Order: sequence, then C-alpha cells, then structure tokens
Amino acid sequence: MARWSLRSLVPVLAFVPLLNAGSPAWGYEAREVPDGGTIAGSVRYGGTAAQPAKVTVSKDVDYCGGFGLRDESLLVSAAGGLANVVVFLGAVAAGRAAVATHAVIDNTNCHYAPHVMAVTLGSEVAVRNSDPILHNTHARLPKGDVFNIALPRQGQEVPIKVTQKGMMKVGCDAGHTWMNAWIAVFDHPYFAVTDAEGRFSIPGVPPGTYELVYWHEKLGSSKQSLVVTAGATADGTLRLQ
Amino acid sequence: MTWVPDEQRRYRGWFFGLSLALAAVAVWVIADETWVRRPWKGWQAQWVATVGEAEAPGVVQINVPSLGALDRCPTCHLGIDDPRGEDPALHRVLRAHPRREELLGAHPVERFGCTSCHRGQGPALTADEAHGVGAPDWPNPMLPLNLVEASCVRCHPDDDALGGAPVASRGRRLFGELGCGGCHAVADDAPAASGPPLGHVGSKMQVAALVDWIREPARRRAGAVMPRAWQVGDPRAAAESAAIAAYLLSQPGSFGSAGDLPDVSASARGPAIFKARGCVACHDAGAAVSAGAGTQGGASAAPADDAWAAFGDGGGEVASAGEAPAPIDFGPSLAEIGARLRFPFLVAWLRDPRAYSPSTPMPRMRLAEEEVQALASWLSTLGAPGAPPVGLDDPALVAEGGLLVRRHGCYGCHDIPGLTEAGRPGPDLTDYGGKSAQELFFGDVDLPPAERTWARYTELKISNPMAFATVDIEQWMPTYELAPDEVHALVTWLAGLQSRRPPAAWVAAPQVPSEIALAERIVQERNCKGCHTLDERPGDVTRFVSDTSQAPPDLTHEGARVQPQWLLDFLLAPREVRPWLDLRMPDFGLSEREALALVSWFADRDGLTGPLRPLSWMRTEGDRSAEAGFLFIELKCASCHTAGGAGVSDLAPDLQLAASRLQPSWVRRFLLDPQALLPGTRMPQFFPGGVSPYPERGAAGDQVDLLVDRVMRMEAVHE
Repeated sequence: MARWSLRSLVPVLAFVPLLNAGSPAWGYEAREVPDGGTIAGSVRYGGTAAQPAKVTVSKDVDYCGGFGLRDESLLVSAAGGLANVVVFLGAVAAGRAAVATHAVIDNTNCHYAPHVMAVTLGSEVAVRNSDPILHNTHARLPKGDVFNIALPRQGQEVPIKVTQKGMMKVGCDAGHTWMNAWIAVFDHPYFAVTDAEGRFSIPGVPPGTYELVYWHEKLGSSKQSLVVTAGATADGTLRLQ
Repeated sequence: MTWVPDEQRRYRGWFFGLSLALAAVAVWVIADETWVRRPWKGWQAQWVATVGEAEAPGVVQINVPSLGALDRCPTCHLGIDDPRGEDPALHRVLRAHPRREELLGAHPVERFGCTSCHRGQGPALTADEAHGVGAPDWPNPMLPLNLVEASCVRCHPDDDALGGAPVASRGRRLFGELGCGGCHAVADDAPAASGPPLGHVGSKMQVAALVDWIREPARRRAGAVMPRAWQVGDPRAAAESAAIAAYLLSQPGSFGSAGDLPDVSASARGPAIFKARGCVACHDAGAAVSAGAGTQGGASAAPADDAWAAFGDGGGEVASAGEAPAPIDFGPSLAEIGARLRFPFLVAWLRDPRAYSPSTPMPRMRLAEEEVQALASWLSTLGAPGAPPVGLDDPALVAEGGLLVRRHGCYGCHDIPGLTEAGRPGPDLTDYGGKSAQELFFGDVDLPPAERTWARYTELKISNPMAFATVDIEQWMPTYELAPDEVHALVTWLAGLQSRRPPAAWVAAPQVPSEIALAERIVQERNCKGCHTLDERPGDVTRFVSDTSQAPPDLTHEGARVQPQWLLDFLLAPREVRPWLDLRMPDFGLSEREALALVSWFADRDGLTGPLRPLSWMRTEGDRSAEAGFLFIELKCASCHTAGGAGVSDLAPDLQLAASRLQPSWVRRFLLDPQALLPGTRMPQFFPGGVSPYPERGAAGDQVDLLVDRVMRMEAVHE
C-alpha cells in the first residue's frame, strides 16, 4: 500500500528539486546531467580471506583439468580489496541516458570470463566459446529461464540481446558444475563492478542524496546513504563481511 | 304521482325480495361452482381473459399408464408448457414451468405427466387434494419444490454430470463418500467397507491414539470421515471408547513381529529420503522437511541463492519473500504420525500401501528396503504417543467392547474379525423416500403439525442422529459433522429412494465416464500435479528441488512428446528414464483402462486424434547418414547423452530410449527450441535464431532432420 501511494505521488514529486528518490518501477527518465558528481571508492573485505579452493573437475578432465581452476565466488586482493561486487544506485528516477553496449561472456579455459558483469537493458551480450569442447551457457532470473545456448564449436559466438532487468545467474548444464557467472542488467547507467582491487567509479550522477547498494554473490546486499554534490567525488568505500 | 293500489304495492315488494334472493342464490351457485367446487373454472376464465384464447379448454387429462400417472394438473396450470405462460405478470398458477424448453423439451408433458416428477394426487381438481400439502394424511403428497431434484436421479441414477440436478447428485456422492451404505442398504447395492480393516489395528495404532480416535475422530484429524459415536459431552464416551479399543486390541493378527523396532541410527536419514523420494509432494511432516532447509543428496540450498534473491530487480529494494506458497496438504500431515501409528505398520505401509488398503490413493513409492526402514524409523519419532488407559486386557472390558462394537455398528464400515458376516446395522433405505410422516418415529420432539413432515424429520435425523431418542428408545446412528447444504443434499437424494421405481425402459443407462473425464479424475485423485508441472503450474514438489533439472518432468506436452505405447507401459510399470533424479515416478497400480485413459488424455491435450497414430519422420538416404554422423559428433550430443551400453549419464536421458519412447515430430521441435517446449530444461539451444553452429553445411532445418533420423534409429546403430 505504501508503495502504491508513493507511486501516485511521483508526478508531484518530480517538480521538487533534489528529490531523486522516485520509484524505480515508474521507469527511468534520461536527461542531460551537466553538473554531475562522481561516486568512487573501494569495497574491502572484512573477514579473513582464505586462498580460494580448487574446484573438482568432474567432466572433460583431460582438457579442463589443466587450468588449476579455483572457486571464484570470493576473490580478495592482497590489500583486502573485494572483487566482483556490483555497486549501483538503488533508486534513481532520472539521469544520463542508459546506452546499450556490447559485452562478451567467454567460455574460456573452462570458466566464464568475466565472472561478474553488469550491462544496461537492451545491450548485446555475445556468448562465446574459446575452448575445443562443448560448453553450454544457461542464464536464469529468479523467475525463470532467460536463455540456454549450446556452444559445440570452438570460436563460436552467439549474440543475445538482454531484454529483462535483474540478476542473471549463469551456469553450465553440460556437466561443468563448477562453471558459474553473474550478469546484472540495469535500466539506468549508474552501476559498476569492482575490479581485482575492489575499486569502482560511477560518474555523471545528478547531485542529490542516494542509497548506494553493494551486491556480492556470497555476501548478499548492503547499502549506505551518500550525498553527491556537483562536480565533486563522493566516497563510496565500504567494508563487507 | 301515480296511484298504485296497496295490493300491487305489496306484490311488488315480494317480487323485489324474491328477485334479490334468486340473484344471490345464482351468484352463490356460480361462485361455488367456479371458485370453491370447481376452482379450475376460475383459472381457466382468467387464462382465457389474459391470453385472449377463444374458449376454455375444460378438464385436461394426461394418461401415462407406464408411469402410473393420470394427471389433470394442466387443467389449472394452463401455461405450464405454453410460451404465453412465460409472462411474469401472470398468476403463478398459470405460469410456465421453470426452464420450460429445456426440461419439458426433454420430458414432454404428454409423455411424462406431472406426478412422475412432482408426485401428488394427479386426478384431483382442487389444490388441496392435488397437492396433498397441509394435510399430512394424504397418501402421496407433492414433493416439496426444494427437493424436486430427487426425481431426476430416479431415472438418471449414475449421471454425475447431470447439470439439472446438482444437489441430488451431490447427495448421492456424499452418501457414498461418508460410507452411509456401510450401514444402510439402498436397493440392491453391494455393501462395501469404507473404513480401514481393523483386524491388525493393535499393531497399526498407538493405543492411546486408538482410544482417542474412537472417541472423537474429528479432534484427531480435521476432516476425518469417521463419525462421532457419542454426542459431545456424553459421559459414556470415555469408558465405551476404551472398551471398544480393548476389544479391537484383543483380536489376533499383526504387522511384522513384536521384535520389529525402529532403527535409531537410520532415522537420521529419514527427512532426506522423505524429500528426495517426493513424499513432500503430498504430505507435510513438520519443520524437518520444510522447503529450502537442506535438500537431499547433501546439496543444501546455497547461500548464493539467498544473495541472488536479495538482488531483487536491481532497484535497491531487497526482494520480499513473496507470497507464501499454498500448504501441502493433499495427504494427511505426518507431523505427529509417530503418536498415532506404530513402526511395524509404517514399514508394511511404505513397502506397499495397497497390500493393506487396495483402494488407497497412496502409491507404492518403489523404495529400497533400507529406505523403508529409515523412513519408518524417522516417522515413528514424530510426535510422542500418549499414555494408554490401563487394564485394556481385562476380559470383562473386552467382552463389553465386543457388545458395543455390535451396537454402534462399527462393522458397517470396518472389516472386524468375527463380524464380517454381520450384515448391515442400520435400516434398509430402499423405500425411505416413499415413507409417510406417520411411519417415522418423532420421539418426544414437539413439532407443529405442519412441520411433522418427512423432509423435516430427515433433516433433523441427519443433522443430529440422536434427535429422536427418548428415555426408552436409544438411537445408535453416529454423528457426522455436516454443513446445512450437505444435509440438504442428502435429504434431496434420499427423497428419491422409492421401491416403486420407474420402468426400466425409462431409466437412463449408467454412463461410462469418458476417457477424458476418467483421466481428469485420476489426475486429481492421484495428485499428479503434486509432482508434475502442467500448463505452467509448477508441481508442488518443485519448491523442494534446487533447480528445474532436478524436478519431475513437465507434462504440458507429454502427448506430443512420447509414443502412446511407451506411455501406457510406463504408467503401468514405471521405470527409470532420468537416472539423475532422486524423485521417481511411483507405482500407482493403475488399471489398463485407467492408464489408457491417461494416454488418450495427453494426446487429446496436444490436439492429437486417438492414441494410436503412426510415427513418421524424414528418413535419410545412405550418403546423408554420413552427414548425420558428422553432426552428431560435432554438435557433441554424446557429451551429455549416453546411447545405450556406455555407462549412465546423470545429465540427460539415454538416446537409445528415443526410438521406442519419443515422437519424432516432437524431437524435431525440441531440437530447434528446447526451452519453448520445456521451460528450464538443461537441453540447450543448438540452433539459436534458427542458425546452425555449422552454417556452411546447410540449413538448420535440414540438419535437424538428419539428427532426428539419427536419434530415432539409434537402436540399430549400436555405438
């Protein structure tokens, strides 16, 4: 009920400056952001990081067994930076245009590269197989299947246009049980994936107060509130555990 | 002023007086004739005046000797089968029959008369005499209009689908479901025990639970069919239920032997087996097996799944848990089963439920013996048995129990050793609907004369069987907790029970349910949707599996997918198709007719005519088979599928099954777009967008044809 009443207020709220907290369900509105600020920082891991475990290669052992594959679900740098965190603005009603892009998810050396990616709605994700064995890339949203593509031929690439937002979980049904990846799809451009050192940067944010969401496949969702001012960089550093 | 002689004046007075008197007599005579002695003349006058008929028809008589009807009802009810009678402004006596065209179209008045459905004294020409209402001593009063469906089922005895008589049909179903026929004969129906046999009940039930159950079944399990033998608060209930239990426990026979004990160490595996084998599709068993908490095979719900859900749609709101799914309650809850049932019975039941109860919907779960032992051991730990009453082995108590079992008529519904030939304890109801109110015993119940009717008596008796008991006359019929509309349905059906039956030629032949209707009933009664996804409704059990590939197959297109003969064989004797599934198709013990009905139903759902249709596909010629071989190898089909002999794949079915199992047309569609036919399948799309991974070797459609041929001939290939 509360959500509904908020929604019905959106046309009124749109006239109130500095109030960016519209309902995301209302749809994202693209506009010029001449006075944008930047959110940047790094995500640190608060727990004790162990060396990622070796995965058990149970299929295509001759080929996949040679890469020393390890579990990629919690990657922490020597300095304590946490990789593969999806950082994004939780509720943003308007801002710079969400431009469709081209990205590749590669089945290579019996793992997915990248392990976590984020794209805008309408982008094209090319599913590629760089290995000489059968790979299969099966993406699901919590509500159901999105695509399930077989890649029997080395060098084969199948373009997929992403038309649903949310977090896709990607896995292989062809017996490579250790292979998994995540593809986040947003209807706005204010997101980033942390690099190996845990660093990220989100430019061109209209001034205002935001909730910044940090999502990690093992650690779940966290958030913190931030104020972005014109031309300045707001520090979005956070420790997760 | 005219002069008039006195005498003339006197005569004039007489004349006027006489004329007045004569007129009064005439009016009285005519009125009496028209409204009192011959009221039909009044209705006819009104009918003639209203509808503009030239002349009144006089007495109308319908004679149907075969139905024993000599009916003059339309003499007053002139509009009963006349479109002009549908004018709502008419007096109700003159109006048309409700749903005239439908009901009288099928039952023309001149062939059926009126009293064959409505009863009453057909030849009478006044309302009181004809209807026989208000004076309870009429031999054949009219059936109250709210019970008139009773007449429908006299000629349509077996038609569940009889749309015109839903209440009476429901009454007949209730009579069967409640086991009324266990105590009461109706015509020449065969007695059928509706409750479980009680010969082995001592090794089946915990003693305290048995005593409780006898005393008050509905308190032990909501919706229990077994009725209460005592009124709430009856002081005899405790002692008598203990005595009956004592008698039943004294009967010989048992499941297993006294030495059979639960295996405590094995019971830890119980919850995992309970989930893995799909017991969860029908039964709740408390916290240990709630959805999500630790699935089978050690694969517990990964924390990543929680994180996945936490992402929501990326709007920053943590996705809420959503609507709680409907509880699983097709079968009884087993959360307290150990308090009720004993280990030896659980073992016997899990091995083969039909060996104990041939009509149970519970299938044989095809469990290994060690699974049976582990499950039964675990189930017997659920709930603590109460303390049994002491002294149940007292011979005096046992003897008293034996007497009570006879008096309460327990043997009407249950097979009890020594009482199997005892017949039925309740009165025969074959002519119950033909009884007059005078033949019914109202006891001390004080009803106004207008309510001392058959219908009122029956309604009271069913709602409260002890209603007419007096200090001298005990009543033994047990109490069913029925809603008023259920009581009314039973009263309606009972009203139709008359030994005077319509001639056989008038009775509709019992309808054999169509294969489709039968199949739909099986799908319902066997809870097929507890496991299988059908028409986008996920099977209930899917909430316990980690992903779609671990769920039982989606049957939405089963008719188009598999060959009829294969499906028939599989339904009659399920066997392994998907080696990676922990869940397995149980053995429902279907008859061949039932299995065939399901085969036809699946075919019908996919718009295929008849179960036996030819299989055909594009067969490839010699030189093309080399190309098929190339595709089979290069698309790496054998990376997931086995093809006979070479081990077992836990990823995909053995392709050698395809030749006898799958429809080639379905294989073709499946190869082109697996997700469209089976959402969530692990089989990936090899031809996304209709493009082959080897586009230089030809069109995707041609390549798929080659693969279909290859797969359908797999038996002969012997890889």
